[in-house]
Amino acid sequence: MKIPALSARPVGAIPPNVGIGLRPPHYRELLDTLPPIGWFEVHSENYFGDGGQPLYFLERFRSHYPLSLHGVGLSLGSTDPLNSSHLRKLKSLVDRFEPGLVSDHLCWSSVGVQFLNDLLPLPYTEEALSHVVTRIGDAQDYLRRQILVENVSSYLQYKHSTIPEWEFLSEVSRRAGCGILLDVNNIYVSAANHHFDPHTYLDAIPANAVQEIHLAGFDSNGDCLIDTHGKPVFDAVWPLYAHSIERLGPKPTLIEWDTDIPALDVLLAEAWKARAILERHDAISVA
Amino acid sequence: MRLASLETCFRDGILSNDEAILAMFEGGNSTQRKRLDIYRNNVFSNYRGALEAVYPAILSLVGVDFFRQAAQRYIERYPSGSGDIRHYGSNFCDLLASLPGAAELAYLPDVARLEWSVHGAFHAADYVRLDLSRLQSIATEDYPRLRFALNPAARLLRSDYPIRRIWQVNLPDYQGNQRVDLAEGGENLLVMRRNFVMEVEAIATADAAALTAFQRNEMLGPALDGALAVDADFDVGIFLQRFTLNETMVDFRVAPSTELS
Repeated sequence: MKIPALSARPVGAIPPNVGIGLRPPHYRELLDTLPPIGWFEVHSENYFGDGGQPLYFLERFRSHYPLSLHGVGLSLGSTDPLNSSHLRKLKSLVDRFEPGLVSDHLCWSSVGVQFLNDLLPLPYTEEALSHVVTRIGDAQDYLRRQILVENVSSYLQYKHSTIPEWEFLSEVSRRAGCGILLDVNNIYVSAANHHFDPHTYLDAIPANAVQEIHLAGFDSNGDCLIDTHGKPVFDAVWPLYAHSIERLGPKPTLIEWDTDIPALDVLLAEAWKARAILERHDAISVA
Repeated sequence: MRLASLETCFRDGILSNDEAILAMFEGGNSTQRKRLDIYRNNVFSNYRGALEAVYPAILSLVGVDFFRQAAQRYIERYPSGSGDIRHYGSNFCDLLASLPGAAELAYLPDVARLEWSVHGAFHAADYVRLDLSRLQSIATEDYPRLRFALNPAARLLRSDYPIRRIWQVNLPDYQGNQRVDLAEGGENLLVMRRNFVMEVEAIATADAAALTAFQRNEMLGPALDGALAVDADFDVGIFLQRFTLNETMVDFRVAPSTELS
């Protein structure tokens, strides 16, 4: 008789519920209170160390909650070779923590082995499309799993782009077989900066490809909206989110807050706002 | 423009203020420039933030304005080589040593080395304490051929200045007497993470000599000779007990007898 192994961990799958970005200032309070959050997401690179406190705490959270790994450094759109040491680190994190979702951004951040460590925009051309599709395929092959790619906020557009961003993103997902992490705030920010209707973007995205939604706050410099993750979700982004859930159905939704990190209850209040929208659309099953 | 050229051109626009990339963007010239500035500000403030996170004592020692200028020079001279920004800043001690404005703070590069060591030890691999009964079962005649492995979360440093004290009083959380006596002179330091707490302790020169020898993969015999050359009263028994119990040495193996004749 085969005896199933006992696991102290909850299953890995990310439920269509709200999650929050896990940040060190909240570790203690979260572990003391274990709030009814559906899942946590971390920036993968923050746990690329060989040991110590970060990995210890991640183990503790993983024993209570499903986990999503969200990267900022894979540089999927770069024309350099894929960074093998980065991929190796990510793979060992994936093997160890069994995340429900693994994601990075539809952008580039390095060239000539120089890393700008920022999410820089790609031109939306056939050349860039086929390049990034190959890279995502290679990353997925290496990790032996599907990844999600996220649309970034942008402040500039290239004159020689020939494909609208929403078509580019949809086509990347279709050709590479990757999922989409739809950042509704980023769509709002880019729509304001480049003068398009965010609904045009949202309504063009294939519903079955979207596996996660991000919400966060932005800043403005007067001329341009800037994606800073340092504020509550903007008022006008909430109706866009509600529209997305109506159209896409229930999707795991993350509240991201990375700069000027607030008290935990402020962050949780944002999460409960998103949960109310999911519930209003009868999106989460009653526990 | 091909993607590879565009990325190179964009990078140069950010790091070297090369304006060629502007012609690739939609919008008028002043809008293009302002929008590229947003990216430039993001990139530079990310780098600077990474340096500030690793070097809080340097920041406190030199002040915000000087640190900003030093960071700017560093960013221009040392590009980031990883998508994991925690690797950024390893050469900051060299940059500080080269700054004319920092010449009167001669200990700055050493304080920077200490902070980089603390940063590295914080993220280093976990370890298992050495089982002393293993050591007790080694035959006396095999002792000279012992090769000790140091804790992955241990770092050794030597400075001609009392940098442990300088570092300590300049940490953001430090409260108490700020006085540092430079006449205290230099020291050998052991940086270690124990139970997730970063500890920096001064150790004797002979102890440092022996531990450094282990780091170079030397056996106990030659390591001992080095320590005795520094301090004729060096007591190997006390040394082994102290640095295994405090988890600085976490493993060992016996080298083949052919290695020591």
